[in-house]
Amino acid sequence: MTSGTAPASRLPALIERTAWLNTGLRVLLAIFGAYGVALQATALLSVTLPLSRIEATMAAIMLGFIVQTLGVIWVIAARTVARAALGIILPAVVLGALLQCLPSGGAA
Amino acid sequence: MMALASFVLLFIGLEALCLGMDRHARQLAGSTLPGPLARCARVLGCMALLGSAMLEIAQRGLSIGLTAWFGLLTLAAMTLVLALSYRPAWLGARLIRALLGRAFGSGPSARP
Amino acid sequence: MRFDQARGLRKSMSWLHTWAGLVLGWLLFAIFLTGTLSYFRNEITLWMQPELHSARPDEKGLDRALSLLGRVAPGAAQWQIALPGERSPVFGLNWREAGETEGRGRPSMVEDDGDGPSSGGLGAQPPGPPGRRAGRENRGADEGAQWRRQGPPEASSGLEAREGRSRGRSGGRGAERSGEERGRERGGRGGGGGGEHGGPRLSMNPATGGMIAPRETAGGDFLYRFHFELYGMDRALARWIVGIATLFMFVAMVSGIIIHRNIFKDFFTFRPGKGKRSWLDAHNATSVLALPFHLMITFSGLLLLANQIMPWAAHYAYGGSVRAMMGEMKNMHAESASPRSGESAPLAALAPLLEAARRQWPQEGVGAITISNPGDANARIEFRQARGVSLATRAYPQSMVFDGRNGQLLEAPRAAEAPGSVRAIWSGFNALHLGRFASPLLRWMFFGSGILGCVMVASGLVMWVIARQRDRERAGHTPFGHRLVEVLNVAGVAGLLLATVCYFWASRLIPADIIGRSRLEIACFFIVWLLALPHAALRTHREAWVEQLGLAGLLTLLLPLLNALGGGAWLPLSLVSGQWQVAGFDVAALGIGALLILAAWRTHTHVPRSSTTTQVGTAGTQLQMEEA
Repeated sequence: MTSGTAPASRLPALIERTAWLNTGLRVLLAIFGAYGVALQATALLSVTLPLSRIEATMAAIMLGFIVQTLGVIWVIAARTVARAALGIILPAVVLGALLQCLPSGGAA
Repeated sequence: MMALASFVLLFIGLEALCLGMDRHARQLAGSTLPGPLARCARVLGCMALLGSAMLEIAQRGLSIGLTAWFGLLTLAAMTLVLALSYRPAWLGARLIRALLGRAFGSGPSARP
Repeated sequence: MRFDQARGLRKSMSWLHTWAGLVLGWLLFAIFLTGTLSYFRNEITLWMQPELHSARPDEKGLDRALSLLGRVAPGAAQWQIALPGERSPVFGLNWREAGETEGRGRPSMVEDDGDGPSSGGLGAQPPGPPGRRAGRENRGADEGAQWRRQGPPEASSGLEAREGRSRGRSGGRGAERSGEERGRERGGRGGGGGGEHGGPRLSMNPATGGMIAPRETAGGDFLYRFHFELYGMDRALARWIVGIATLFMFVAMVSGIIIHRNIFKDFFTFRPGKGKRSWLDAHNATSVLALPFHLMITFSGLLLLANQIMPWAAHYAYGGSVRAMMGEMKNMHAESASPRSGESAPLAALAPLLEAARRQWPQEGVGAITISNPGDANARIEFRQARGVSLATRAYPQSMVFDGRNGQLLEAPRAAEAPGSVRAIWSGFNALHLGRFASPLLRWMFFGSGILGCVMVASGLVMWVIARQRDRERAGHTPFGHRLVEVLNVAGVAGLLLATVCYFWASRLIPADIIGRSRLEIACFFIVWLLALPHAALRTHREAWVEQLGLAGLLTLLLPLLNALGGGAWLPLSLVSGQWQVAGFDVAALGIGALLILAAWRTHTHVPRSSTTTQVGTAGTQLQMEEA
């Protein structure tokens, strides 16, 4: 994590230390971030799971809710806001990239 | 009727589990049970739970039987918890004490 | 807790549990309570329609039903007879005229008749509350409309004013729309008055063969609808709100499990009379002892709303055609409608066939009979189970089909083909949530677990206040936030209980022949609930609890009396004559009323402990004693 040595990391450090910013950002990440990742996960899983189409969709939705819950837990439990954000943004980027690479391209 | 049987089995099983736990053994028997006996109570309790589950599954099929079993488990456990707090005598506390007293003479440890 | 300081997982999860539970806690309580009551939706509706209490079982009932149908619908293409049974004392009769297209897959039809709210035979509800014709809708329909609503916005035809945007591309294709959907639309448009899709619907007294026209009531269907669509707002919006609340609930539950250190060690622990500790014990006990139920009901609630809140899976996998997914999900196969031959022939005697079907399903019983082409040489008689046998198949009832002329078995009950495991899990969750497979015993256990869930939510809400007692003592006053939670707790918990019981009272006190009485009933519900808020704000915290709980308890306790005076079957009679649906309501009212009064009394006589040394001291000693 970013400790306060480099000047570039001053803002994150400020966020970490300001209670309402810290909490507020986590709440936003938990509500919207985890949901976004879960949505992406359902989309990806529904087309990649080696099951029949309907079963893959069902499994994706069920796993999606699990992903969302784990995401929320991660965001709240992470030591710093930066880690919390990383745990949401990284999967989001990876999932997003994978979704772009899908042959069919999807519909949404 | 079968549901009643599995309920009774469940209840006995849960009570045996209780006896195997120190805190509740004190409520029920006045003292903790010696290690081997407590372990025995726990094993018997688990077996009774398993038995009631099998009874329900045999009667209603796997999925609905398990559902019914969980429902009965909740019911039995709730009854047991309330009885433990308010009416331990109804759980046969005296009987349990008498049995334990007979088996261990004056009992494994001093009673309050 | 501060996020910028080092803290353990438990502490973070405790924070999450507290706030995820509190923020939407009152809504969750309302969803839980109305949802729990929905397990007895039919029975509640029956209780609210005392006209139906006079129905008595009779062996000749089926013959009477047939002759009644023969009189009122001689030329119908299909008769449907919901038999009286565990959930209804009357025959529910409806029919489809020859011209009407069915367009429904078989499973949904089965659900409709076997399980629709009015089904189990509470058949002939009057044209229900306009705009809330919940009675004729079923889960299948919900699912249907819901999935369709996910249609891409650009396909909006604008034809469907009410749900235009959301209804999407299925908008203009009326011919393709299923009967269910037609029913729903009529209902949803408000004032469609009836929304029948299978034709008119009557209820018949088995003992006399006469039709009974019960009073109009919002019945249990209002509570059922409310628990996932709230009231008076756009359906999609309401489902979003409920879906978000359900997500909060799920997160609160998982985090609660993480912070509960000794699930097994504290499994049987409840220590009454110890202030905060007792509340924590009660919260833990109601949560843990019914944990399988709580997890199941919350997760399956998410799945039932999944198309609303997790739409991407279907969009990607089905290229945006949610309709396609819907069809595949419900595994619809069109019913093979046998054509009329034109040659008339008397119908085979039903009694022996019914007997054969009952022998086939000794446990589940027969729920409904469908007669296609009655009076024609090509008639078909189909018997359906009252309840399904396996959750993996959505508890889908089996059926037996007989030739209508000679009574020969044409189609033996098929064991449904085993679904794939994922599908089985999904179906199992749905079936568990809806509880349509449940025998009376199971239904009561679901109900009991639901009540435990209500207590869990309510005790959690109360604990938020109790846990902060020391803060208040230190501050010397009650901060606004605390007071807000106190007031909302009273109005959200006790106030809702009061509103619910007043809803039952209203249903009996409003004259039976008033037009639009279901709207009045619902208005009573909301007015009482709304009034609970200023009352809670104006009285002290304790007075508010005592008064609202006490009044709710008293009114609940008096419900059996109201039933007796209001023309219903009074308790001794319903017990003696075996009307378990009515007796069950009254007995439950007595029990719940007594509990509420007890709660009010305990609150009234409660001597508050200060959170200083005494309480900590006793709790501490207790702990030492136990761990010694």
